[in-house]
Formats: sequence, structure tokens, C-alpha cells
Amino acid sequence: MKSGYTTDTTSATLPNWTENLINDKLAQTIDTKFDNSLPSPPSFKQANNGSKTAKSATKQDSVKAKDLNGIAVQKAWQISLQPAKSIPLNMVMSYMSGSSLQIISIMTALMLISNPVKSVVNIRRTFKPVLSNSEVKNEIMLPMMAFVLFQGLLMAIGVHKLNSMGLIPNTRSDWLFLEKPASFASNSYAF
Amino acid sequence: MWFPDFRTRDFLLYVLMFVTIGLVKVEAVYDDEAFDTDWHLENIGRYECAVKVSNEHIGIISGYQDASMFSVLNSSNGGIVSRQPLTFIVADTMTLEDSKIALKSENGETHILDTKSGLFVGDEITVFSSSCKPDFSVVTIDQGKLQINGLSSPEIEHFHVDLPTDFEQILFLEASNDGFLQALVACKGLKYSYIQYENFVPTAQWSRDESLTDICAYTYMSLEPVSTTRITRELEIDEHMPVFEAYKRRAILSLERVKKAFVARRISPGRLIKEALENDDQETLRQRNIDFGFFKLLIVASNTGQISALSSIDGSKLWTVDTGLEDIIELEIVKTNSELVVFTSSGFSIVFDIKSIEEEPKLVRKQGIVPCSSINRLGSSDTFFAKTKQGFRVVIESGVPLSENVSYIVDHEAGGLSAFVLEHNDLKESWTVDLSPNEKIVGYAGKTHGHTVSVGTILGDRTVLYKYLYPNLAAYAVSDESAGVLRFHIIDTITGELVHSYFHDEKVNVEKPVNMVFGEHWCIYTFFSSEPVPEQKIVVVELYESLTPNERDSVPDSCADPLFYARKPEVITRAYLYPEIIRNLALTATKFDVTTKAVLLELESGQITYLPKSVVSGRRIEESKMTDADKKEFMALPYLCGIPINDQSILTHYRTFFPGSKSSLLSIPTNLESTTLICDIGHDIFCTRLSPSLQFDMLSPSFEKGKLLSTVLGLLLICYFLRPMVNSNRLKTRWLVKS
Repeated sequence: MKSGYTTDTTSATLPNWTENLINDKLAQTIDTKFDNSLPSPPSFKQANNGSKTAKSATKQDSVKAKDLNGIAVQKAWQISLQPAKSIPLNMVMSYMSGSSLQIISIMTALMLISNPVKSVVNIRRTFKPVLSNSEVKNEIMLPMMAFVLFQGLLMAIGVHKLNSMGLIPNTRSDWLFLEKPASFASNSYAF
Repeated sequence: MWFPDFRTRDFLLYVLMFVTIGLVKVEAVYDDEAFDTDWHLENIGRYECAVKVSNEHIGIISGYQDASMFSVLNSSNGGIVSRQPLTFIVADTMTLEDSKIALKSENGETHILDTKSGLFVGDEITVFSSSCKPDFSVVTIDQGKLQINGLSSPEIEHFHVDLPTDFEQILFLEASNDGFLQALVACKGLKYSYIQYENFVPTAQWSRDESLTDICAYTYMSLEPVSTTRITRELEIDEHMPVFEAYKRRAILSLERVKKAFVARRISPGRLIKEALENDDQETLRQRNIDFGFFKLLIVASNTGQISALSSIDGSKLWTVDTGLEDIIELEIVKTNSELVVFTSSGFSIVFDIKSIEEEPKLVRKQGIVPCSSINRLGSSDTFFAKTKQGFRVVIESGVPLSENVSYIVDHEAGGLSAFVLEHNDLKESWTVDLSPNEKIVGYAGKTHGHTVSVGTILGDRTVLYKYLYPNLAAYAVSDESAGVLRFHIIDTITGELVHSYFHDEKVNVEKPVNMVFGEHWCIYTFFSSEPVPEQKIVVVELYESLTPNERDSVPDSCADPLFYARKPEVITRAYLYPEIIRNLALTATKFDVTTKAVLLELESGQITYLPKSVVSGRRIEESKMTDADKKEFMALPYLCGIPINDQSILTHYRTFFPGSKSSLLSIPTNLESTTLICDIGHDIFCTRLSPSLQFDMLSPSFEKGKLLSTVLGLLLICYFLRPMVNSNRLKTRWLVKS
């Protein structure tokens, strides 16, 4: 192994190691060679040492940033698909609970309507973990729109449920009380 | 670990408390107001003969319809044990052994009746000796005193019985000189007194009042409570205010009322609770009955000319006036509940002042009007439409005039219909329907003019069928003996135009009653037909503007002239079979017509029952044809041809109502929308209360106020004691300290 140490002991009174000791740049002159034939021990991280490693690090950084963006988008899709997962369950629940007027069914249906509204209002808070990444903002718009769509679907289930229970005044019978009868301008008596 | 927070715990605690309270005392008794809100005046009529059928019972023969009736009275209290209408007129009666009696009919036939079973057990008797004439040889009647002859002992020789001052004759008498005496005495005005002595000591004494038998005319008077006037005034004020202001005003008024209630009770919660728990005294109950409109005066006139006022609460007589008029045809209350007019067929009329309702009325005047066969009131006015014996029609005015200038009147008699126009007190005939000699009108009903609550019927799929609400309609049934058919017609009472017509060729038996009622947009009629099998039938005819849902023909909120109203209804009909012969039919009437209608039925079996209109619906279809939407409709029932008698809807319970030759079934609205008074007036008088859609506006008398208050108090106490415990537990949980 080649070494950068001064070994001439005759020309100086002081031993070499003292010079080495005060030489600040000694460490840089030492030619180190890494033997990659052996794996690093667990939890061992290679030191960012020298120009070669710095180059590879920037490369890795760009790769990492790309991965992070991908992950962010992936995460955004995960968030947006969350309400979609509850759609089948809610559909089954609303179908199974029938259309009879019961306080539990009415509450469930009302929650199915109110919760999506709340979620859409709080959409930025929901997507906060991924919105901090300004690079993928545009890509996240799509999952956000999907999120709104799924919440809309959930709401539709609630509206359909309320409608099937007859609680939405959308038929003629609901407004019948406002309809006035025709009157007749005469008096008749029958015995 | 899930640990309930305080709210959840509270909730669970409440639920537990309610469940526990509910389980402590389960009252499984069917809470019915039977025999509490209804009353029945059972009448026998004029006693024609009285005989002893056993030691405890007296048998009475009286007239009923066109034959006789045999009744058994309990001799110790005068209560009716049984009444049995007979198919013949009894001319004479003879007592036999073993509680049997022999009845001789007018044509000389004898029938032996076992009074214990009510069955005829034979018809042969060797010697008939009448038991109807009492043996007066054993007694002496002198100056209203009855003495037993042959009393020897000086202590008892002056023994006598005072007869009632208005006594007419002794119907039944048994006496012996050992001090035994039984006598049934007939007094003036169909009153009967009974006295019984054993060893010169009175052992039984009672009297029966038969003056309310066979009522020929009736009317009723409602007492307007102070609260109703106040409510009406408040409603009028509210109507002219914006909704929120009216609500605010109402809330302030209610708060003031609560404040007043507290101040009146000297702001003592204890006194309030005591008052809430106390049973209401008689005066409070009476006032409540007036407020709720349950207390009405039923004024009835009998064939003997006696006019009596009965309380609708218990049937007690408030006053009686003997007019001596035996041809009363109509009683009417005019001049806003201040005068009672008695109309007679001879044309003589008496007017009484009835302002003070519980006192005997004062005679105001006697007047003579035309002799007439029928008198009808025109709506709520004090104008009457009378038919004279010669067949002319006249209008009699006596107080509040008609509100309209032009009125159309349709009158019917067996031979046809006659229509009149009344314009400024001038009566003109407008059209007639004349029937052929073999035809006669057997049923007739004018449409009732009530409130229109809804203009349509809501179907299961939430669409609307619009009702045909044209008010000027009447229905009549004509029996054609030559063709053997019953024709049913609905006509326009103004133009006389035929609106709907149908005929029944099922050999309708017109000897049995043909009844008819005309409700809001439907008409129900009943008849007995012999084909295909002898059955009582109920037919319902429903009129709609269109049978296509959501199709409205009439113009909303418009005012149409009936002379030019050409729209005709579309009709649905359904027929049902009923297991009993229906004698009379009526419709329930409530204050605002919001409560679902029910049809009241007086059955030939002597029972009064009702059918909700949803059961007698024209829109019932077979279950196999019903769609899911049809099934969703409110009170939708699949069509079944037979309507069974529901035991729980029998208003008379186990009692038997004797209607006599002519009875009137009427429904009187009360101040409570849910409740209506039902009265059947004939040979007997029966009254009850009916809530066709349950008592939605009144707390049940058995409502457990005490239980409710104690539950609230108990819960408050539990919360008071549990709160510190729960707080300390929560604190310990926070500090992870095990308790």
C-alpha cells in the first residue's frame, strides 16, 4: 500500500510524524482506495468523500427528487381514492336499510350528504402532505378532481337514499298543500 | 380499551332507567274507555201487560215496531234482564209453571215461551186464562193509598202504601194478608214504579222512565266555551301578521300564561306537582268536557209530546217539558243557540227560550204555520224549507237569513225529485225527475258540505289523483220492480244533469234498507241482493277529475259558475260483501274534516260499528295486481271482496241497540278534531265518542303523570350523585391511576 508519509529520517532532526502532524492537507494527499469487494456492514453509510462521490450524490439527488415527486403523486391518488373505497360499502348499506322512514337511515343519508361537502371544503387540508411539493402541483390537480368526483358520488348515494325515502320535495304531491281548490259561486241544498 | 365518556354513560343510564321503570309495572290491561264515555238508554216502551215469571223477575209485554216485545225485569232493582222482539202482536198473556208464559196473538194463536231460554217450547194450551189483569180483590185503593184487605192484627190494620201522585193504573199486583205486596204502577208520562213489601217491610222500590221511547224528532246544542272564543280571536289576529311576528307573539303569550300559572300557585313547584298528580274534581272535569266540546245538549221529542234535554256525557235528563203535542216532526235551535222551535205536522209551532241550558226552557210564543209533512233547514241559516201536506213547498224564515241571494234546493220523495231556485225569498220550481209508477226512490243522499283539506289523493309513487270536488251533487237509488233492478244515479243538484249512473240486476231486495252517504268525493251505498247468493253489499263510488295521476282539470283558486261548469268526473267503483244486514248508515263529522272519515253502520243485529274509509275504498285492487308503488300508498289495502266485522270496532260492545221503526244515526263534531260524538236515536238512545284516527290531540286519561315526573326527578338525582364520581374517574384515568 503506497503511503504519503515522509520517511527521510537523516535530513531532519524532527521526526516525520511531527511534520505530518502539522500538515493540514495531509489527509487529502493520502491516496485511499476503496475495496468494494466486501459489502458494507449493516447501517454503514459510505462517507461523501472526494469529488467522485459528490458527483454520484448529485445524480442520486435528482433520482431521489424524481422518486419523491412520483411518490407525492402516488400519495395524492391514494388520498383521492379513499372516498371511492367507501362507495360500494355505502351503496350496499343504503340498499340494505330500505326506504322506510327511520331516524337512523335519515341520519346516515344526511351524513352521506354533509360529509362530502365538508371534505370538499377541506380539500386543501386533506391534500396538504402532497401540496407542499410545488413541482407536482399540476399533476396533483387530477387526483384532486377525482377526489371531488368521488365525494360527489358519495353525495349522490345520500341524495338517492333521501329521495327513495321520499324526503326530497320533488313531486307534485309534496306541493299539494299549496294547491287551492276551485270554488263555486252558488249555494245548493239537497234533502 | 374503549371507555365511554360521560355523555355516553349518561345516555346508557337514561336508557337503563327507562327500561327499568317500564319493567317494574307492566300494565297489560286493554285501555278502553268502554262504559265510561258511552251510554245506552234501554227502553221497553208502553207496558201493555206485566206478569210474574219467577220470584225475581217480572215479564213485560210492550209494543215494538209493528209487533210486540217481551222483556224481563229484575224485580229487586228494575234492571233489564232481557228484551226479546216478537214476530206477532201479543193480545194476552198467561203465566205457566217453570218460568214459562203463554202468549196469545191477535189472531188467537197461542205460543208458549220459556222465559229462561227465550225459546218457544210449544203452542198448545188447554184453558187460557189471562194473567194481565191484576186481582184487585185483595186490596183497596182509596185516595192514592193502597191497603191490603183482611188484615186482622190491630198493629198492622192501618198498613197502607202511598201510590205516586200521578199514578194512572196498577199493571201488576200480588198481595196477601201476611204482609206480602208486589205492585207495578203506571204513572203519567210513561213512568213506572214498583214496590215490594215482605212482612210489611219494604224490600224493593224502583221506578223506570220509558218516556224516551220512540223519539220522533231531535236536535243538539253545543256550548261554546270561553276558551274557543279566545282561540278563535287569537287565530284571527295571527292570520293578519307575518309568520315570524305571529310566532313571536304566540311564544310571548304562552310564556305569559306559564308565568300566570306560576303566580296563581304562589310560585310553588310543590303545589304545581300536587295539582298535576291530583285526580280532577267534578267541576274541572265538567269544564274540560265543555272546553273539549264533549258536553252537548241532546234535545229529543217523543211521540207523547215530551221534550227532554239529555247530557251527552252520561245521558242524564237535564230538563223535561211536556208540550202535549203528539205530532212533532222537527226540533230546531235558531237565533244563535237562543231559541228552540218545535214544528208539528198540524202546523202548530212552539218557541222556547233555551239561553240557560240547564234550566227548564221558558215558553216564548206559540205560532201557527202551514201544516207540513217535512221541514228541512237550509244550511246554518234560520230559514226552513217545508213541504206542505198538499205537496207545495214553502220557505219559512225565523232569524238569521240566508247568506246568498240565490239558492238551489233539491227535494226528494218516493215518486221523484223536485228542484227549486230560491231568489230573494221567491221560490220557483226549476226541474223535476218524475219516475214511472213501478219505480220509487229507495235511497237518497246529498253531498255533505265540509272543509276541503286536500284537493287530491296521494298515491304510492307520490303522484296525485285529483278529487272531483264539485259541491252540488246528490245521489239517489231507484228501485224498478218490473225490471227487478236497482238504479244508482249521481246528479248535479243545480242543473239536474246526470253525472254518473249504474244499475244492479242482482235481484235487490228493497224490503231491506237501502242506505246511502255522500262524502267529499265519494258516495257509499248499501243494499241486500239475492243473487248470486243472498248477501249484504256495500258499493263505493269515487269521483276524480282524472284517473291519470298528476292531471288536474279544475282551475286552482278560481271561482266557477256552476251553471256553466261542464267538467265531468272519472269514476272508480268497488263492491264489497258484508256479513250483517245494514239498517242505517252515517258519516263521521269532525270540526275541520282533517281526521280520516269513517262510515258508521247500524246493523240489524242491534250493534253499531264503523268502517274506516280506507277499508271501503274504491281504489283497492287485488294483491297480485298491486305494484310496489301501490303498496307504498298510505293505508293501502289489497282488494278482498268481503269486509269482516272487526270486534274491536263495535261501538256498542256487548249491548244490543233496539232501533225501533225509524232510527237516526248522527255524528256531532266536538272541539277536538280527533273526536266525534256518535248518537243513535230510535227506540233506545245510544251515544259514544269515536276517534277514527286515534286521539292525536288529547292525552289519555290514564296518562301516567306521576310516573313521568318521578322519572325526571329520579334522573336528575342520579345525575347529581353520579357527576362527582364520573369526574373523579376521568381524572384518575388521565393520571393512569387504577381505581
